[in-house]
Amino acid sequence: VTSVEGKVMPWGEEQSGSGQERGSRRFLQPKRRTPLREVGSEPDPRFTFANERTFLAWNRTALALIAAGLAATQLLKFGLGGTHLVIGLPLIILGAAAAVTSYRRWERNERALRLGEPLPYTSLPKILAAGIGVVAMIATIFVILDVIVR
Amino acid sequence: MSDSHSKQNSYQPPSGSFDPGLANERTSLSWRRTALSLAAIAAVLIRLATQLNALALPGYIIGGLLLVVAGGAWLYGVVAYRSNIVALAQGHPMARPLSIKVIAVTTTVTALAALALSLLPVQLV
Repeated sequence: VTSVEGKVMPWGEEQSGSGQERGSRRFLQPKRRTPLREVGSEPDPRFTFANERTFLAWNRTALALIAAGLAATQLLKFGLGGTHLVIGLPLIILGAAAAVTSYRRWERNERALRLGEPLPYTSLPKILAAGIGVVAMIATIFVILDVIVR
Repeated sequence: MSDSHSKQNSYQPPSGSFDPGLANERTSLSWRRTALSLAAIAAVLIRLATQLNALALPGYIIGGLLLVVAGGAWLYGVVAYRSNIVALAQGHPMARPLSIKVIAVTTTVTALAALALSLLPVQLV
């Protein structure tokens, strides 16, 4: 049985063709390197605005973490030595992680929006939630110990 | 604007304007919130710098730079809002990677300054 022209399989000619083209383009010119304006097409302005606001919100979160960490390391005083660093440093490091990765995340989101692709996954919310949770638990233990020791 | 105008409530958005959901306005306000966050942490850094004799100068410089960026972010929020109204009406691109980059770099520098300050063997209070 010869395959009928036009009968498209799930991985049909058109799809695999465009995929190949894309693959070779990626190989010749890495996707990351192409300037943002040249990728895909201009998305719905609302999406670009939303991406910008999300970026700014992440940076405010980073600044809040840094401020809280700074306050902890500079102003906190427990009976035990070094506890201010145990609480403050992780907060500042989490803030730094959010700050350092923020542009990359904005850029990847904008790229995905321009290409009509699903937004890329980021594990930062998970890391942030876990980190803040752990710091909160440690802080609670310190507070309780501080009360008991005194 | 005279009183008679405001009483008539005759405001009409410019034809062709495109901002359902006020995305432009919310983004502008987001820039201003970010500017306030930057200004607040700049104030904290400058306040801490006054207590660090040897390292007061770098503290003042970083704090001052943060204040400048905070002012810039506020102004950007105001100016971009206006230019976006035109850009939306004419279908111009919205993304402005430079402003995004400036904020990302500023926040990163703030984080590094806070890290350095915390690792110093100086504790206030």
